[in-house]
Amino acid sequence: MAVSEHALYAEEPRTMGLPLPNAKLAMWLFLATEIMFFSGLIGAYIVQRFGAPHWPRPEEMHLVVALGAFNTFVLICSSVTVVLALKALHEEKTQQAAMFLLATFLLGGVFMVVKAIEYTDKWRHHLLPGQVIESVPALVQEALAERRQVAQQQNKKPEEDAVFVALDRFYRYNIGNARLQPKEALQWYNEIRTAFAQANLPVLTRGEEVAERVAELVRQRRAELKQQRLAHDPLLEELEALSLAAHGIPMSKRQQAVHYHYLSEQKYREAHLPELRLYGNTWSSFYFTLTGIHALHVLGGMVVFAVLLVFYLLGRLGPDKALWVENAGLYWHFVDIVWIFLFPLLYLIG
Amino acid sequence: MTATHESHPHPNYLAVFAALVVLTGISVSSEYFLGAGAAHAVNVLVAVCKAVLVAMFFMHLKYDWFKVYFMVVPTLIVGVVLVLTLMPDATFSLYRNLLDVPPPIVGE
Repeated sequence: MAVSEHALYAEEPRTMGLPLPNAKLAMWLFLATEIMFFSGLIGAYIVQRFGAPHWPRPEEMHLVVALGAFNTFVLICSSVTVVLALKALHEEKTQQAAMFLLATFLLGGVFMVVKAIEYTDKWRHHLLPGQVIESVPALVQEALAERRQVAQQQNKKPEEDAVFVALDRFYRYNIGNARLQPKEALQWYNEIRTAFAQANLPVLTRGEEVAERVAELVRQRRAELKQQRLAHDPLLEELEALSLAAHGIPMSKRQQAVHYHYLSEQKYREAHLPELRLYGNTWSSFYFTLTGIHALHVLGGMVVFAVLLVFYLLGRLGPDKALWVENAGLYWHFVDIVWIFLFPLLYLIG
Repeated sequence: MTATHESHPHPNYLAVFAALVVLTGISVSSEYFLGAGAAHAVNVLVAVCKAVLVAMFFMHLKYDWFKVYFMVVPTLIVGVVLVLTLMPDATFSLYRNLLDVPPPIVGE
């Protein structure tokens, strides 16, 4: 016994340094730098998101949790396949290893395809950094452009579209400083009167009296609502907008946002007008930086697997390449771990 | 020095895969069963568990930890400390609400 034990110890070469292959040590050093890289990015996101006065919700920015969850599942599967490839290679089943490597490569491709679908969706909704609208005037212009397009598609004039007329009025008189002419004021008042028939608003015949009468009506309505312990209602919103326009008082930014919200969410809900996304540009910058850099890392990993597959096709893949596959696997698992943190942060916690 | 033989056994990868899928399911469905704050906490916890599972079993850290920890631990510490040092400046501000900020005093 003692002799054979002694022989066993004598067989092990005494070397300097870690009992770790150089390539593996180097890969771990690289992963350590990647940890720093991603913790900088993810840390910046955490700090910015919890420090911002407002942050858009994931649904507002068109993030679909199902797609993110599917991507998570795809990357987890690809991690399993790469480690099964390593196991197969250790057991000298080279073809099985190559099949697993191919599966990893294809799953990486699926991840990239889903990412491309998500990015295309963002592009279509103008959710790119610098293109997200964060001010009401720009938002109204965008809504007007959309309605013009809709009218053009239906071969109608934009002026025949009620939504367009309302938005145009809102822009010119409430946001801009155009003077509301008596005729237009009267027409506006009559439209409100017909829309809220049950409120029994008085009949007005002259456009000039619209200004004072509507201001009076606003006060009345506010008193009524206070009686009913309500803060606001659509009729008050409409009357206020007309009153301010008739008196030539521009709406404050906050009131513009509230009125646009009323128009887009209540009055013309089915028109699907664009929404105001405050801090959407910051969100977009972070989203594309985080997921884009991660996607580039996935692409790099896919290149390595492609090279390994080429090696297999050239008949040069064998148990002696196990270290290659192991290192490629280490990198791939790291990319998977980054996504495991990105997914809840971006999609679930938001 | 190249190690061409496996120096440690392979764990049951499919069991780890099943655990990861279950944890993902828990994370995705947490907001439907819990309130917002609890769901966020569960999501973070689940993410850490998944990362640890992948690191320990897929990256073989369970077996290689003592050969490798000296590279990983400092980076993790620095990564966390980076966020903690920046948080007071960026998040714990006097005015959390845009409407609370007083208007600038323009020179008289």
